[in-house]
Amino acid sequence: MATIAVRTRKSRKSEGIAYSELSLRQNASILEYCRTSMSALSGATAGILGLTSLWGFIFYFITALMLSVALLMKAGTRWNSYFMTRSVLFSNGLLGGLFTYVLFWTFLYGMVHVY
Amino acid sequence: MAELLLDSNIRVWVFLPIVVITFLIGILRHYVTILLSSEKKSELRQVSDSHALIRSRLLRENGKYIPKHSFLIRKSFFNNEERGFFKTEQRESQAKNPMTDPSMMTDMMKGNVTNVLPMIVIGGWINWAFSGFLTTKVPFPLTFRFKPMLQRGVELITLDASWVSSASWYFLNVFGLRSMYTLILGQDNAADQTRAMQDQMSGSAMMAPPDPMKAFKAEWEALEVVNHDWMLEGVEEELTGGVMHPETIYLRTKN
Repeated sequence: MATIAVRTRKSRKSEGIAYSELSLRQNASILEYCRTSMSALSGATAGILGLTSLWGFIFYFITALMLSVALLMKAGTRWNSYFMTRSVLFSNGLLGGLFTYVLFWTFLYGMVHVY
Repeated sequence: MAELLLDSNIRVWVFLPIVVITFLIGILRHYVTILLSSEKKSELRQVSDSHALIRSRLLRENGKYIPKHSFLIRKSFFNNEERGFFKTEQRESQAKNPMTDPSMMTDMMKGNVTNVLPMIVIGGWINWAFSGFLTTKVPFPLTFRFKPMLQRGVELITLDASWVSSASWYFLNVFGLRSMYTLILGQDNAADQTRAMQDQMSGSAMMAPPDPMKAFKAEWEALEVVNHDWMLEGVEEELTGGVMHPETIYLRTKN
């Protein structure tokens, strides 16, 4: 009768992951940059197309979603090394972007369709 | 509701100019602020104080990674009853009265010149030059409550709330272009005045603690209660694969 020793895997103490504050902020600001650009562009598009009321807002959320999906694909499977949570890609700057969107929408809608 | 027909001259001479003026003023303000800003001079003593505080904080947070002996040496450098840094250093409070310090006065004045003055002057000028026009229409319906906000200067009761007057268009631009400045001028620009306010509230608190003695006292207390908790216990074994501890072994009988 032979006995062999099997080493059980002792669960390691989970170590806290160290985040670089500077890089986190940098990533967040790049996200913000993308959002603002996308809001401005989609606002201009909506204004030129002449979307009104609900359609305009739906259009904003559609483009925002498209941007989020694009960002997700860009981050790929390694999003973990860039962001702490994945939901940040969806939620970051959504409402701030809406403000920019409305401004551009109103501006180009006024330029093209009101006069 | 009957559609209003606006003269297209309004577009060229009111609607566009307001956007362009607001935008360019923001950019101008950014550069003027850069021109006027004076570097905050900090004294050597203040810098060394704040760095001592930072070192002590680092010791508190990461002291568990150095051997106990080293930790105690560092701790006693700061906290020793007779010779500790926080015990022996004496600093007089440096809270200055802003009214008596001329450099602070100029700083405050510059802040006012770059932030408040353009707001008043340009706002007043826009109000004076472009008052009383309906400029545009927001492409979504709004309730009656928005009328005073969007139709400043045009008091018509029956007018639909989604029409925007020139003065309100200016304010919409002032607030809406904020993120555009971020896009164009970079992250911490001076065109945006709300950000400047926040900076005044929170910024530079780390660099120069207003009262070093109080900060030292607080840091001394914080460091005093920290005990050395050696994190790297058994790290060599972990690295090399380890000795087998009896409790981690179970015996499997081979039949």
